[in-house]
Amino acid sequence: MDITCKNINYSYEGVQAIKDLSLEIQSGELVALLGPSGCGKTTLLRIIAGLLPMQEGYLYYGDQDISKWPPQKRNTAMVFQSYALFPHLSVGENIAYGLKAKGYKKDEIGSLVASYLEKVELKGLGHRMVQELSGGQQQRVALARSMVLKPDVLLFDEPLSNLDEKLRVQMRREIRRLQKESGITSVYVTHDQEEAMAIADRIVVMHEGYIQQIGRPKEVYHEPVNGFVSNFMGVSNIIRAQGGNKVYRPESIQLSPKGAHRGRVNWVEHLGSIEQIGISYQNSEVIAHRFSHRLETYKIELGGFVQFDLLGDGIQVGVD
Amino acid sequence: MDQTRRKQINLFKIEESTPMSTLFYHFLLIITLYGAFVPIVSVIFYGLGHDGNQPFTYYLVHALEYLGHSLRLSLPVTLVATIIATILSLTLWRIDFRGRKFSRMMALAPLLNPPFVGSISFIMLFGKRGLISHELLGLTVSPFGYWGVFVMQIIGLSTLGYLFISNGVRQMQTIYEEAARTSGASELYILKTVTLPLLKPEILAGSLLIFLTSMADFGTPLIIGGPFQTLSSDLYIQITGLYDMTGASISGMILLIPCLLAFVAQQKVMKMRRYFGKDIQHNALIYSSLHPIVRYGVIFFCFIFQGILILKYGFIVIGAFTRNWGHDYSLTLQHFVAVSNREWTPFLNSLKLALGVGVMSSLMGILLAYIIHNRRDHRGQLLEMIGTLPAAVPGILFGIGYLVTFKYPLFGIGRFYFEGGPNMVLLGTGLIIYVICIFRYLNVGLRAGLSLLAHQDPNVESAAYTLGASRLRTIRTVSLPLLQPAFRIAFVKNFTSTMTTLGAIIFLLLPKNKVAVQQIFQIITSSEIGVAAAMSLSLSFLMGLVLLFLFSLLAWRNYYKQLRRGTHGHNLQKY
Repeated sequence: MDITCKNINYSYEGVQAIKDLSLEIQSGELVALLGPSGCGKTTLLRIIAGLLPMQEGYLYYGDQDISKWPPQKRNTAMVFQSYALFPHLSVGENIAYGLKAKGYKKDEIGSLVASYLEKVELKGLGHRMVQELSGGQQQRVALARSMVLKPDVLLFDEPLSNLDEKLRVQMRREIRRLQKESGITSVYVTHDQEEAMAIADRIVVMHEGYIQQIGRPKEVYHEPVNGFVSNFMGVSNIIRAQGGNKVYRPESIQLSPKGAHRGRVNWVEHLGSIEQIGISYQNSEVIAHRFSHRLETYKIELGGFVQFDLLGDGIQVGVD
Repeated sequence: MDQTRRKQINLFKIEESTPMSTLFYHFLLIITLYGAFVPIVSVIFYGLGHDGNQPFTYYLVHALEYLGHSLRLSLPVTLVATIIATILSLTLWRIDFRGRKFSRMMALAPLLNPPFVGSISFIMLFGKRGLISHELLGLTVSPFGYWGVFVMQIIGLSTLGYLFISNGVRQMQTIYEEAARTSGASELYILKTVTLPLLKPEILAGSLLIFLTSMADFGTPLIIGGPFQTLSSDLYIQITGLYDMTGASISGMILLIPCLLAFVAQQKVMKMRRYFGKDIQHNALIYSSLHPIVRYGVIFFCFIFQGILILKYGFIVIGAFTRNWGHDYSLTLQHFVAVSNREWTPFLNSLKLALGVGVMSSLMGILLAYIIHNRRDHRGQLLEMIGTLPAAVPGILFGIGYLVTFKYPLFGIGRFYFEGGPNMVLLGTGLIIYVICIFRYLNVGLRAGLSLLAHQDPNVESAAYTLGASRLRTIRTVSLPLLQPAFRIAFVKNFTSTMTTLGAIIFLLLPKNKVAVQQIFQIITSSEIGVAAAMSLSLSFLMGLVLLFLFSLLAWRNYYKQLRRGTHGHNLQKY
């Protein structure tokens, strides 16, 4: 199911949260809405779900104008940050909820619930109350509850923010796999650029109610259209060069004893597989990454000099 | 869950209690026991140690008969009023229509009026020379009786229930209903399967509150019950008409049973898990796709109910300005003149009492909450229970408890010991009405304080300690300022309750400290409708004025603070 947003404006309590926004999402795609808090991404998601009324603009599912439709009529399903599992129902009843509301037959519901419990690896937990499950398991239930409805559109509202780091990485892979298997068009809101890049086919970077850039993960990371996107997607080292400033990502700053540039080491952080190094250069600081393996021969010292090369042409961004 | 909580307590309990604080703690425990618990027990002892004119079984049969009347009234009233209150709550907070803000305002009107003044309008409409019964239908019979009380209680208690249940609706997390919506469930299906089940604790607790209030209401049956009297109103008659303390005590014992049962049930319900969110926007969820019949049906229902409320309070205003209702409908100010000729002392007494109780009861309740919260031992739980108990007991019964406890010397002890001791009788002093009101409303500050403390980060006080603040300094600079909101809530509630209360104090008042509500009640029962209306109008006006003054004082203080910080004028909007 394609989704088309056309000239959407939305304001809340005098603040314009979304400004003349247009966006097309292709069938089967997973699109991430990415931006800092207050950028309008959640507002847009809730408009797509129908939980917020359309104030100005149009929304199409396929060719159908659904701008004024209530959420129930749109065949969507939403996964919430706090899961929103019905606390008075069991795991199985939670998953069955939408099916019951839509009038499925009892045995049909039973087999569907069982198969989706299996899909999200919660086989045999159907009778538990939701409070008895861990956070990760609860999110799987929420996922199953949404997917069992075979919705045209799946909506995710920061679904992983309440999980710890390891679980988050594992769950985002699982969401990605389930989404690809089912081919359901999905919109995924997050403020974590790493998560967005890992999970999405395309990323929509938003800021102050405007779309800043739409593109594949690699595009928005390596070819940001402006300073905001560049900064938001990752560390942006600004290097003065002939013909204007260029932005280099930390992995493009390669330390080497024969490097053409030289700076002083301000600080070093060991992050396990990589080292992050802050270097004084051109009266400001650049941040470099390098793999930290034991055979590394180029030793660096705090306060000592380090030499490096700039890989590639860098990113040309407008002055911000 | 319970285990982690217990762990936390050990973690955050920094300072052990000192002898002084332990002494203070037990002092408070005894005071509360004495003011809140002993009077209730006294009623039972007085009733059992009977020395009345009639055999015990006679009193018992009499009481049980009236208990039957009470239940025949209160049970259906509870059912109907709970349903109405739930419909009103959901309609006014979940459906968007013109005039709903006004409707919400209207629903607050009962707070500014003594519960029985609605009977004034009832008499004006349905009395012997009532507008509807006499002028319209040409009847001269009085329709007073069961149905009059039934209808008046439903109107009054539905608004009470609304205030309680709508609070739950407003605070409930909307996310579950949103999840159900995106799952394609219809609004009515969601109501049935999500909203109502999650609201169950509020609805149950609200209905128990309605039941308790209905059981305790003696004014309405007395004024418009005619031959139909309840256990509570019979208590009043036994004491003021028959001077039969024994009979009243035995009836009181019987009245205690259903009330305590309801109270215990309510405590249980309050402990049920709730699904409240922290920052719920009040208009967060709107039922937008309801079937038009349902939508306009409930909106129409709201308007009807509101129309009745407007009638109820509107006719008090009309009555206050009409020369002689039923006979002479010309406009006049004579009732206000009569009120002012009767001197303003009752109003002044009411104000003094309400302000005093508002401050002292709220402070003491919050102090108890603070201590209970920090102690968290079994005596703390006992203290909490005892402090809340008076809320379960009908005011008139609590008043009888004070009557039979403190009519003896040495604050009641003289009944058993030191018979010839110093003559310290609390009854007959002006002080006793303050004491009884303080303990009767102790639970308000206690609740407000406890619920505030439950949401407070336990580290805040620890932080002050680790920064080197002493215990007293921490209490003064951290704990007390944090408890201020609870005080404000409790004060407003206690102030308005005391202004409009009658049951608890009616037997304890002296001619010199009579209060306005008592005057109004006496005037209604002597059928001076115009004066009664003028007086209750003046009382509501006075309360509104005081509250307005206090609110603007507070607003002004905030304004002044902002001015000093230099942030005034900037509208700091949170995104």
